Amino acid sequence: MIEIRIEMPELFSVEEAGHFREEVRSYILDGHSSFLLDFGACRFIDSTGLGVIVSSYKKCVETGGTIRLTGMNDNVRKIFELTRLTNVFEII
Amino acid sequence: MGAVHKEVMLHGLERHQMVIDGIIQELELEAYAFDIRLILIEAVTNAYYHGNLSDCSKPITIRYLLMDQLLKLQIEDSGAGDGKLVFPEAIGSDELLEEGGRGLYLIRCFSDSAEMIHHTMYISKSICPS
Repeated sequence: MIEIRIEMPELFSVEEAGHFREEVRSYILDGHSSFLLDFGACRFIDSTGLGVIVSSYKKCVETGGTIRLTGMNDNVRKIFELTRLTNVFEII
Repeated sequence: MGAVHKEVMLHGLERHQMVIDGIIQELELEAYAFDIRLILIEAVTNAYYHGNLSDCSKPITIRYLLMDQLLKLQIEDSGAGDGKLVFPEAIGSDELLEEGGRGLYLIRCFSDSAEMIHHTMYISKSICPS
């Protein structure tokens, strides 16, 4: 199964979360369900960003795929740790 | 560090990131940019969706005061202000895959105190000198 790499935006908040949701939805409609989210350029994420990633993850799992995360800086990683999403996602 | 006490008004979420960045620059708190941006974005988002029920015509007011290394924030929405708002102390295992419910928890994590009185959220955060 091909893993699609998505580069996350610098600020991942309300507006960007909507774009991400549509991008993942489009890939899923094309038959893809495994994604690697590259946070290398991302320096901020909020609860809206987390929520849309979780929502997308559930859709991927339903179709046999998953979402993995990479490249997080300390601040972004802290958000995932505080919300215990490090227990959900594979972080590489 | 001198005292700054100002307020700014928003309608909807089109300008909120720019306004918040402006507050951080004005207070010269770039070293705390991540924490303050997170607190304010979560509070403003909450005010817009839950206080103003996504009505762009209703204002959201941010008031900010920095004095004696203590940042005080007030985020006022235009809602009825009669709902009880709980700032969770933790994310439960059964809540991990919920799409929402993390914003107030994150405000609590990144501030010293946070409470909602009527339709205004009161937040304080210590700012240690560099």
